[in-house]
Amino acid sequence: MRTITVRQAIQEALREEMRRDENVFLMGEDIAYYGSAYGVTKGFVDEFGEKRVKDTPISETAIIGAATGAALAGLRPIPEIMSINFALQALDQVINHSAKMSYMFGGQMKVPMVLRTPSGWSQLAATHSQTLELLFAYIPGLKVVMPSTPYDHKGLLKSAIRDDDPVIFIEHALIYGAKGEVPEEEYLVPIGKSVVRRPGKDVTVVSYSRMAMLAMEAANDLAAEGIDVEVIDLRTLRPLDMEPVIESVKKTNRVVVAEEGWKTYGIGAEVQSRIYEEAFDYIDAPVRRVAGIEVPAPYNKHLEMAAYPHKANIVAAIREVLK
Amino acid sequence: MDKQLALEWYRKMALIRRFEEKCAEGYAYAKIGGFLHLYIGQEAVAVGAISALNDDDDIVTHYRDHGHAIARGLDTNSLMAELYGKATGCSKGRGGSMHFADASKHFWGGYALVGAHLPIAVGLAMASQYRGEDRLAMAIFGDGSTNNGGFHESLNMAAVFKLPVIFLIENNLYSMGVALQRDSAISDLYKRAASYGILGEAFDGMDVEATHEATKRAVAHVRAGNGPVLLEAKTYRFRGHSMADPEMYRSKEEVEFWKQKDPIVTWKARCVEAGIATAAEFDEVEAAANREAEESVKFADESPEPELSTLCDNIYANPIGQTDCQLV
Amino acid sequence: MASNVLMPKMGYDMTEGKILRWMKNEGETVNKGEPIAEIQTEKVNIEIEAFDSGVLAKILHQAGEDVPVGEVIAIIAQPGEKVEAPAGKAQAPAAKAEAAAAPVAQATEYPEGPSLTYPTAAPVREGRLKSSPLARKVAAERHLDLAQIPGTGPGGRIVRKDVEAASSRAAGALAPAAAVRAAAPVAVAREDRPVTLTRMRQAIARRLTESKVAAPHFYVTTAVDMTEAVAFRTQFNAAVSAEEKASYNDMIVKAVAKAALKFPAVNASWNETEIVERGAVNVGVAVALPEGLVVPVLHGAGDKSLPAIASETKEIIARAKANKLKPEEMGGGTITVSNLGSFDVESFTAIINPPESAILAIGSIKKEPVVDAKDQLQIRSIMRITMSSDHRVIDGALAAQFLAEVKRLLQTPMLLLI
Repeated sequence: MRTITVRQAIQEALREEMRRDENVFLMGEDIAYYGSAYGVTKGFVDEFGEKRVKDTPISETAIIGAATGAALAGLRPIPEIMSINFALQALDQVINHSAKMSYMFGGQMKVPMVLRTPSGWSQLAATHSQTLELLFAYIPGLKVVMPSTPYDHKGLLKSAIRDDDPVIFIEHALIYGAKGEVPEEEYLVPIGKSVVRRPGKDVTVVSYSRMAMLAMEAANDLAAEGIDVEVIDLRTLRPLDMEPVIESVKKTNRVVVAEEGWKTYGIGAEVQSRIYEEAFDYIDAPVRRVAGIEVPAPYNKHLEMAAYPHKANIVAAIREVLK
Repeated sequence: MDKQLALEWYRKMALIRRFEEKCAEGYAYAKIGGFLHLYIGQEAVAVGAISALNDDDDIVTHYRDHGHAIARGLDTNSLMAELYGKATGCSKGRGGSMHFADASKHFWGGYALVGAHLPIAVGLAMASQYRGEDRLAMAIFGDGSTNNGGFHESLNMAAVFKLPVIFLIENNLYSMGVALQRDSAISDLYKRAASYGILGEAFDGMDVEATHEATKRAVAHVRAGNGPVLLEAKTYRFRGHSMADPEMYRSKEEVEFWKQKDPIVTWKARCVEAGIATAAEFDEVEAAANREAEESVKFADESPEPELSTLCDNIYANPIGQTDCQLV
Repeated sequence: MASNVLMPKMGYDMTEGKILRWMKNEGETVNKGEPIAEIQTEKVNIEIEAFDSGVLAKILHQAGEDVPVGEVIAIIAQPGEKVEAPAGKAQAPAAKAEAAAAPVAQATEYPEGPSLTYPTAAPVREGRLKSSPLARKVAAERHLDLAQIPGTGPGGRIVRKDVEAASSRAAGALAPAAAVRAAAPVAVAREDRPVTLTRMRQAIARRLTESKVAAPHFYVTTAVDMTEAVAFRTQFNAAVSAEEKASYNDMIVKAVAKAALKFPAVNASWNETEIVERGAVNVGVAVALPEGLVVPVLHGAGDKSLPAIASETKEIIARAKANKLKPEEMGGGTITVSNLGSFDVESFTAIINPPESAILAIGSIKKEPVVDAKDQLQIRSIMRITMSSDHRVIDGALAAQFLAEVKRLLQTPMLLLI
């Protein structure tokens, strides 16, 4: 099978869906002639024209509000917010409008919109390095997707575009170049399904996005020592699919949850709670969380590396729960 | 002036007035909860402007939305039922006063965050343009919205994309309790159109005909593909900002001054004087409107509460598996 | 047609309003929409309007009064119409229906807030033992095999108390990792007779073994001079009805109950993480039966008079002997009295009845020579009490103080009447 990058997988998903459905269009800052900040929509304007690849003013409120309005009218807009940190300017539109309309108006409206935005860090300092998926995952009415592999990026983005609800599709700048197998033929990956990325019997690592990739690397390293790690990739943060996690806990009885964001109130806290509620009798050790240190991201490279979790942290946590 | 049209405008304005009076009563009797912002005094704006639109032109409005919903022709029974939180409400009792909507009538809702709904109108207009449809969108908002970022972002974006959208300011001189001159660098808000290179016009919002004519001109301009227009209706609310407003920020004399311009009273007097219709014909229309408003109360009172089992309905158009909303 | 003016709701969070002033007097004409009064909410002063035209026929609440939302404050009537003041809180007028109103739809039952149900825990497969982390820790400390311990927690989960019960069970039921081998039996001439264990005998064996193993017992003995008590009892019993006649044991029970009220630290239970001082004083009275021992409990003994204790104890012992005790009459004890006085014993030590922390073993009353305060020899009636205490809860000094109080009460028996 051919191997492509996450970036190419996203591009393929966008292209295929735009060719398939006239109502799908892109809008965002510098997505047309500049080709987008991370090069994802490079060349799209040449194929689809300005009408369907819209450069917008730097107006996050208007971008998401307008996408919401266009979605109400039956289009399938894919607004891009250049960085998840800039989504804060659009949070009011996302939380108070997109997420609420179906419910608040008694089911007479739907908002089939996909908000694409990259997360990530690398000496970008405090305001450009945040892990904010939790802000969206907390909101009923939204669907929040954050894949790791190229295969999942493509399949989930296509599902998101076809879905009738607002989907927050969060990419990770540090894995745009990651490679993986993606078939030539068309396929979809369902939203709201976690997946066992690697079966194992000794310990379960639950993760998503870039951390799921690091979890896979950690599992491979530990396999050499005879430690058999099961890796679960959540892929969707809302609705959260705990079924494979609970099944895995029944088998391994030991769990590590790894996320890039801050620990307090985090995704790991939720996963941990659900394990204690639903699989209490299967736990042989406290569920350990791997997460970022709770500090605004420092610019200095050494400090930054100390603040974010890495493969070594996952390995250490696995050893801890295996004690 | 066409007689039928004159009487129809009058009927709608009278219906809004009586409906709002019944709301005040329902609120005092604790039948209506939450916040309640009455449209009394501003009836000419909704009726004059919305009557200049086609039935399928999109409307997005703010939380003082009862007048616009009635002017667009939403069923008053479903509106009062919504205020009573009943299952028969236009939003099934999920929205209340600030969230009237009827998608089938292209009335996309009242929104409760000041200035935040303007981008939604921009998006609706974007969809019309995208599909090459002859439909425009109207965003209705208050003077207070013009100092919010959403206002600037929306007007600029609509102008850049030459979108078919009319931005209608209902300038009732107060952002809640702050007078216009205390929170706006300029008091003639239509002049802000200049910042975006678009057409701006102000008119007497207490005059239903002036409102209608100004809106008609704007509609023609927009439909001709010239991009957005900013309209400013100079109007006044006779009641407080909401029910809990003691109105310490304005004088009784000022309110009385504006009440002399009551859009309903003045319209009837003008038409009777011009011989367009008789006072008796106007009274008959008004009596029918009053009956309709009063019947909506009965309908709302007798409507069922939403079933508890529907609590989690419609959070998603396409719910996946077991959603997190579980009635236990 | 008259209509009520109610204290209006003028804000989503308003529950009551104060009438500041009436802007119209009784008898004055009012027009619909006209302000008729000014009210004050917690936040603002606001004028309220009339919803109907007519005459302000009656003002029911004057300026200065606080009135709950929805209560009638005035009545507007048509000129010449007679009005009655409504009783209590009026309902908002229903929509004015010309014909008979359609039946109002039945409202759903709405609970107040989410009901607290939790996701069902995953059913446990064969082979995996349900046990709490704490139970596993305790089992490890005591070298016990979890697999042999029955669980009483949710869904059969083994919890801490199951492990503790198991650890104090008789040896043999459970093989501790370091099992103590029983010594070989000594040969005897006569034949052994196996006695089938009754349920009662099993329960006694289990409970008392548990108690003796888990609770570190220590003993304090005192000699009580019962001379005064003997005289008092004669006097007392002459003055009361047959069923109120007190035995020495009734007097001891009364004394113990009074002392327990004074020393709540004795009237307590150990539960690993804390000591619970029991609110009620419930005195258990050990009763010997042919097949074993039962301990009926005198609930609230601390608050009962001596005659009440006497009559109730008679009744309860009779039912104990007839095997007619209800389970609740044998549970809930906080301290126990075990009296072997009728069997001619000097003194003895009893085993604490868990979850209590103390038991008083009462010997016989015997005449003895006693050296008094003036170094004179006297003949006094002496009774020895030995108190067994759980050292986890009660220290020696406390036990001594408690026992001294029991002794004081019995030596000054008038105190038993107050």
